[in-house]
Amino acid sequence: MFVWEKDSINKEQEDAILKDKSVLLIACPGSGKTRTLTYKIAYELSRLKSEKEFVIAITYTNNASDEIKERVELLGVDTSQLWIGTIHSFCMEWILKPYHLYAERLKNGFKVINSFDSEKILTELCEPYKKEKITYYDCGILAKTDMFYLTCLDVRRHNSLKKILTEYFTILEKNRQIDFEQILFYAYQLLKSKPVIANILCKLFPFILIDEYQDTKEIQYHIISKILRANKGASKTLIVGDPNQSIYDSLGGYPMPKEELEQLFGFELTPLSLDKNYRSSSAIIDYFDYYKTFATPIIAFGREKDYPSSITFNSTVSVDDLIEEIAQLILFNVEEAGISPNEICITAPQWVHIASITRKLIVRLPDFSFDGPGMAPFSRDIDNFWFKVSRIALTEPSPFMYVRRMRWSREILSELDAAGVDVSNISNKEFLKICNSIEIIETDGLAYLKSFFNQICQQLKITLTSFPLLYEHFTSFFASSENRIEKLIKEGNTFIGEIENFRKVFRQRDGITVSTIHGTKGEEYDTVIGFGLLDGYVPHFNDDNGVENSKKLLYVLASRARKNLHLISEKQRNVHHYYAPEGKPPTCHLVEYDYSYATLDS
Amino acid sequence: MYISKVTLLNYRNFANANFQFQKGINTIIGENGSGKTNVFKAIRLLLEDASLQFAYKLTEGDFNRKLDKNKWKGHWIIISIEFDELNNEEAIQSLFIHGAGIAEEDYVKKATYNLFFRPKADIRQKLSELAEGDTVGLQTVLDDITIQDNYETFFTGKSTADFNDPALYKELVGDFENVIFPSTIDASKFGSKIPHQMSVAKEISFTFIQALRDVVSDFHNNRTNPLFTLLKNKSGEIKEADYRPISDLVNDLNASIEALPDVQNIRADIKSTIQDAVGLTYSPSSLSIKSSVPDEPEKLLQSLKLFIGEPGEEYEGGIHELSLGGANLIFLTLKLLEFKYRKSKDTFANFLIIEEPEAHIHNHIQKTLFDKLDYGDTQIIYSTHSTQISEVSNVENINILAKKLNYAEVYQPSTGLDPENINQIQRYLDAVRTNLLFAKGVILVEGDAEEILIPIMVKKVLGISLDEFGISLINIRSTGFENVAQLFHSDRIQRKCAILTDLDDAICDITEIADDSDALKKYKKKVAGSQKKGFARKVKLDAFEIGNAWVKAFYANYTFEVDFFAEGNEWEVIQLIDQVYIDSPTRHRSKTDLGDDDVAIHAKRILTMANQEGKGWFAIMLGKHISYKTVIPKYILDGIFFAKETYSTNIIADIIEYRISKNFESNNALDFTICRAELLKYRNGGIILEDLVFDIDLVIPGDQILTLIEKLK
Repeated sequence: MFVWEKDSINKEQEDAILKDKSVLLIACPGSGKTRTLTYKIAYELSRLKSEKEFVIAITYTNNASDEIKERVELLGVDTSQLWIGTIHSFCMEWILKPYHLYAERLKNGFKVINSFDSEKILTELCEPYKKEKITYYDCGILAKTDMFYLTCLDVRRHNSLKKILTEYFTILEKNRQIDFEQILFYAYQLLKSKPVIANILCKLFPFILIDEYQDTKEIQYHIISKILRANKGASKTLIVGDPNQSIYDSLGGYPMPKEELEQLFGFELTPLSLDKNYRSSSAIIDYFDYYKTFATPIIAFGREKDYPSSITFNSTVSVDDLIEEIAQLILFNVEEAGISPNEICITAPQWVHIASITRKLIVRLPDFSFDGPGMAPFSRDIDNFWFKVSRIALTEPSPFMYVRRMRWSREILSELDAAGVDVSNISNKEFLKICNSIEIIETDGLAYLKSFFNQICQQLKITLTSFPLLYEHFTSFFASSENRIEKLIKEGNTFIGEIENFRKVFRQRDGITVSTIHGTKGEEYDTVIGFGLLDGYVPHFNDDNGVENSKKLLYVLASRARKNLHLISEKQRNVHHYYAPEGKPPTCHLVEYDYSYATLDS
Repeated sequence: MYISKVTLLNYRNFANANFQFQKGINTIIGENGSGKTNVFKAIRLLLEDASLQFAYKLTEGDFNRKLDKNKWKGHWIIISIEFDELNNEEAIQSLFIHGAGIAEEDYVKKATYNLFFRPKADIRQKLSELAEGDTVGLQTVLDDITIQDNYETFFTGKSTADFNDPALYKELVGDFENVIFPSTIDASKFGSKIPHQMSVAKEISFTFIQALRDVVSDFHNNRTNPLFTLLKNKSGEIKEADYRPISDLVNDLNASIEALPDVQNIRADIKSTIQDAVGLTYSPSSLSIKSSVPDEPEKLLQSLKLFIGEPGEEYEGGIHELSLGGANLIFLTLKLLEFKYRKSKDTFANFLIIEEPEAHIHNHIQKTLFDKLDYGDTQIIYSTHSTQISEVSNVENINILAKKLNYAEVYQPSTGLDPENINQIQRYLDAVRTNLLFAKGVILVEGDAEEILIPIMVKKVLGISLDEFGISLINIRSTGFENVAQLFHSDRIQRKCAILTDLDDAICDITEIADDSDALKKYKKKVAGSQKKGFARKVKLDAFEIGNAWVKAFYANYTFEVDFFAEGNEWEVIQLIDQVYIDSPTRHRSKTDLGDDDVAIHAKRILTMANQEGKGWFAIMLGKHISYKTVIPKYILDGIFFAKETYSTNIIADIIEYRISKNFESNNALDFTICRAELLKYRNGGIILEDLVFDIDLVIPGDQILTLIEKLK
C-alpha cells in the first residue's frame, strides 16, 4: 500500500485521497490539486488487486498527463498499470483501436487527420462561399451523442456550413481518416451499439479519474458514464475541477452539476472540496473572488499570504504605448519587487496579440529572454508523429533528459507500430541510440529536421511513401512549419529558422512567459500581466454567454498570480470612427468592479 | 474457456487444416511425420510465454512445402485459435476479452487469437497498387522479397472469418493468379490488433509436456529438471522466520568446515608457497579458504534430490537408478504438479498439452492417468500414435492427421453426426477397432471366417500383409456395418472403407414342390429367408453408399465359404474332409458332393462342414492349407483395391517378385531370367507394367498375378 509522509498533504487532501467512494472534488485555484491527484493515483495504483486492472486518469492536455505521470513516478510507484492521457487518447487507445471493427465506417482501418491537413481541406472547401464570408474558423463542430452540431453562432451561415462539412466528412471517409470530434463521436456510438464493450472495460478500470471536469464536453461525460455505469458503482471515480474556471464554454465544455452526473452514472457522488489556496496572497485572493460564478469558499493559506501585493489596472494607456507600459511593469517587478523573470507571465485573450508583442518586447528589453508559443518556429502539433520525433531530434542526451527521452522514444515506437511498421526488434533504448548516433551539420532548422527524419527512416528501413500515415504527417509537418516560419520572418524574426531557435522550443522554461489566457490554465507565476482585456475579446464578440464567460476568464487570469497582478485595457484598439472612437472599451466587469487598485510610481 | 478450433494455413506440413477441440480431454491421432508436433508448435507460438520469441523468428522453412522454391513469397502463414465459453461477467477474463473476445451486442462467448506472418506494409501496398492481371509486375515485386527484410509477425484478435475458406484467403491476402490484392483489411472479419496491454500467454496457464525419450538426462540438466522448477517457484514463498534457523545452521557449517585443521594447514601452505615463489612484494595480501555451501533458499533447495523406490521394492534410489518407465512416470508427475501450481495463479483457463504420452509411460498407467486427470476448467490435448490410448478418449474429441505428399489433412470423425450415431460408433471403438482410426484404408467384414482367412490369403498370395498395405481389417461380428462405416465421409475421415459381405443368394431352387419332404421344405424356407435378408441388406447398403465416395460394399454371391470354393479353391476345402468326417462313407459322399458342379450340391456340403465345425474353427483349419496357389475371391480383391487405391512401384514389384519365386519354388523348370531382368527395369522406372505383363504371361500364363496387374493398371 502506498503511504505518504505525515504533513506532506493536508487533511482535506487526505480525505479526498482515502475516500472509498466516488467523489466530486471542487478544487479552488492553488489548492494543491495536482499534488492531490498525484497521490490519489499512486494510492489507487497500490490498491489494485490484479495485474489485469488499470487506473485511468483523464487530463485536459497531454502536457498535464506528462506532468502527473512524471510526478507519480517520482513517488516511486510502478506506473505500468496507470493509463493517463486526454479523453481523445483514451477513446483511441481503449475504444477505437480495439473495437473499431464493429463500426462500419472504421472497420477497414482509419487514421486521425492532423489539424493542419484538416484546416487545409476546410479552407479549400470554404473557397466557393467567399461571398458569405465563410472561412475555416466558422467550420467548428461539436460532437454530441446523436450527431454533430455547428459551433458557428451565426445561424444564417449554417446552410452553407452544412454543405461544407458534409463534403469534408466525405473526403475524410474516402481517405479513411477521422478528425478529433469524430474520435469522440464514434467512441460513443460503439459504446452505445455494443453495450458489452462498456461491460468489458469497466472490469478493467476499478478507478477512473477525470481532471478539469469544468471543461468536459457533454459527449465526454456520456462516454465515461457508459463505462462507469456498467459496473454499477463498483468502479470508482474521482471528478476534479473548479466550475469557476470553466473557460471552454465555446468548445462545449461545462461543469455538469452533481445531480446530473449522479443520474448519468447511476450512483452517488460524495461532494468534497479543497478550499485552501496555497498560491496567492490574500490580497490577490480577495481580488479574484469577485469573479466567482459559483459560490465556493477560498481560504488564503500560503506562505506568501501576507505579501504586500500590488494589483493595478490601467485603462488609459494607448495601444501605441503598450509595449512601454508592459516593459515598465516588468522592470518594476524585477528591479523593485525582486521577482525573477522566470516567474513573470504576460498574457492576453488572443493568440494574435501575444505573437506580435513578444517580438517587440525582445527588441525593447534585449537583456531579457521570452518564452512564447508564437516563438516556436515549427508546428507544435502534438499529435503529429514527426513532432514527436523532433522532440528527440532537438534535445541532447543528458542524464536530466534521459527519462523523458526514453518516454518519447517509447511513444514513437508505439506510434510506428500502430502505423504498421514492424518495430518488434527495436527497444526504446536502441531507438534512442540510433537517434543519438545521427550527426548532421546544418544551420537551417527545417533542413536539419528533414535530414534527421530521413536518416531515421533509412536506419529503420522505412520507405515513407509506403506508410500513408507517416507520409501525411511528414508533408504536413513541413508544410505547416514553412508557413509558420515565413510568417514569423515577415513579423521581423529574421533568424527564427535557425537550428538554435528550434532547439530552444524543448529547453526548460526560461525567461518571461508569454501565453494566451487559456494557455495559462493550471500554471502559476509570481506576477501576471494581462492586456487586451477589452470588450469583444473578453468576452469574445459573438459569445452569447459572454458576460459569464468573461468573468471566468478573468477569474483564471487573476488566480494565476502569487504576488502581483497587472491588468491593462489599452485604448485605441480597433478604432471605429462611429462605434468606437477610442477603440474597444474595457471588459465590462473591470469597469463595474469597484476595486481600489494600487498605483505604481514610475 | 477452452480451445474450440485451431486453423493452420501454409504452416509447415499444413497447407490448410482445421482442428476441432472439445472441453476436457482431446486426442490428436496420427502416424509419425503427419505433423502432430507441428500442430503443437503452432499452438505454443501463440499461447506459451517462452515460445513467443519464436513467433518473431519464423523462416522460409516454416512455410508449407507446397510453397517451396520461392513460391512462398507474398503468401501469409496464418495460425488462428478460437476459444469458446468465455464469460464477460468474470473480471479475470476481461483483459483477454478486451483483446480477443468477439463482442456480440451484450455478451461475449467466443474469442479468436491469430498470428499472421505476412509481408510488411510497404510490400502489401505495392501489391495492392498492381493492375489486375499484371503478372509481370507481380513477379517483380515478389522477386525482391526476403523474409529478413520484408516479413513481419502480427497478432490480431476478435476475427470472425473462417480462414480455411480459400475465397477468404484471397480477400485477405490476395489472388495471385489474377493479380488482385486488397488495399485494406476488413477488421470485422480478420480481427483487430491485439492491444499492447494484453499478453495472452500471461492470461492463461499453459503447460507443454514434450515427448521425451531420455528422461534421466533431463533430470540431470538444471534447465529441464522439473523438480528444480518446482523448488524455484516455492523458494520465493518461504517465510523469513522459517528459513532463518536453516541459514544459521549453514553459516555455522561453513565456519566449521573452514576451521578444520587440515583446511587451515592447506591455507598456510599455499600462502608460504606463493611467498617462496614470487616473494613478499608480489604475493597476495590475504588469502583464505571459504566453504561456500549456499545459504540462499533458492540455491539450497536446488541441492535437494528425489529418491524413489520402485513399486514392490524396498530400495530407494536416485532417478538414474530407476527403470525408464519409472523415471518417466515421475517426470510426468512433476510436470503435472508444475501445471497445478501454475494453474492456481492469476489465470482463468488452463491448457495442458502432452506430446505422445506413450513415450512417457506404460499404456496401462496412461489409461488410469487419463481417466483420473480431472482438473476442472482444464483442457488437455495430447497427441498419440498408440491405439490403446486413443480408445480412452471420446470419438468426438479426436482429430485424425493424414499424411499426404507435402501436406497433411485433418479429419474429425464425428462431424455432422447426431448423438445417437456417435454413441453407436463409440460402442464399436474398443481397443482392437480403434485401429481403424490409424489405417490408411479399412475393410469391414461380418464374421470370424473373413477375419481369419483374408489376412492369411493376402499374405500367402501376395507376399505382403494387410498391415504392410496400411489396411485395417475390422470384424464387425454382425452386418451392422453402417455404425462404423459412417465415420468415413467427406466431412469426417476421408479414407476408403470397403465393406465385404454376403449377398446370400439362394444356393438351390427354392420353389416348393408338393412332394418335398418336411426337412426339405424347411431347408428351402431357410435358404429363401437368407436370400431375402441378403437382398434387403444390399438395398440398404446401396442407399447408404449414395453420395459417399469413401464407402463401398462388395458382395460374395452366396457366402464367403461358398464363393471361396467356387473361385477355384476346391483343393483347399477337400483337404479338410478327412478332418471333419470320420466314417469313410460320409468322407466319400462329401468328396463327391464337392466335386459336383451343381452349386446346390457343393455349396450345401461346404456349409454343412463349416457349420459343423463352427465357421471360425473351420476357417482356422482352412488357413493351414492356404498357399500362393489359393485364389483370392474377386469381390475380396476388389475390396482390397478399393480400400487402398494407389500402390507404389516397389510394392507391385515386390508382389511380382514374390509370385515369381513361389512359382519357381514349385517348378524349377520355369525360366524367369527375362522376367527378373524386366522386373528390375520396372523397379527403376525403365519400363511400364504392360511391358512386364507380356514377359510374365509367357512363363506363367493364367497366374493370379496377371488378374492383379490388370486391376492395377
